[in-house]
Amino acid sequence: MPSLNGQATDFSTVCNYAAGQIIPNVSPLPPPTMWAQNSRFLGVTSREVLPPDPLPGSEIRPGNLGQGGGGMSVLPVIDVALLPNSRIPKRNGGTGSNVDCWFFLERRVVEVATDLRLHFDIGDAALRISHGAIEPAKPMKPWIFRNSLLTTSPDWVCLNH
Amino acid sequence: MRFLTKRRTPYDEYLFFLAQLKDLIRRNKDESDEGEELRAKMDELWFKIPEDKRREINKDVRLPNIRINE
Repeated sequence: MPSLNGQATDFSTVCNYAAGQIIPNVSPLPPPTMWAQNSRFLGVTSREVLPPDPLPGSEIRPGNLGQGGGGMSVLPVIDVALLPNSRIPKRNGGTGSNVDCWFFLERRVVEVATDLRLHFDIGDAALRISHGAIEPAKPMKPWIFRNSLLTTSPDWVCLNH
Repeated sequence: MRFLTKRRTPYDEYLFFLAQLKDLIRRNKDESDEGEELRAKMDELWFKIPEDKRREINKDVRLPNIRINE
């Protein structure tokens, strides 16, 4: 979901100001609370990173096979088989919300962030078939991970599509 | 007497929810909480569906061509 000056907006509004492939000054919307309510925010839902009934004060951790953990879902390339139809906007032939925008982030932004890591959990990026997540680089408190994700906000590029 | 039941696959379930979502879209009600709840359920099923079926579901999709600094 896009935001302009920190306020939620929608694709049809922001694309009115864009002549080219990129819509300037538009960022992904941060969740209004600690946890995102769904996958449309720059953040994670508690279900994505914590086991059911976590102990108070639990830390979140990088994803490990069979052990839960994880982070914000990202794709290294856009492959149609990786995107749930219900998250592809209707204007692009899917059944997702037309409010939402496509956002692009250069990989180096995550690679230089000390608290974040990029982890591919399906396939191989080199083969263009992967799914990945931006995760905590080490076990950390949820609010620290949240803040780390928010620091990437200015680096996301909004695509006019 | 014995009864045989066919277990619904994630693909079947996804199509079931997709039909409901398309119905909401037809009625211009998909941008509601109801639509978002449906999409959240569908998210969980997506990667349990075989790739060929996923491609079939998305056969009419037009994706952005991203080649920024790559």
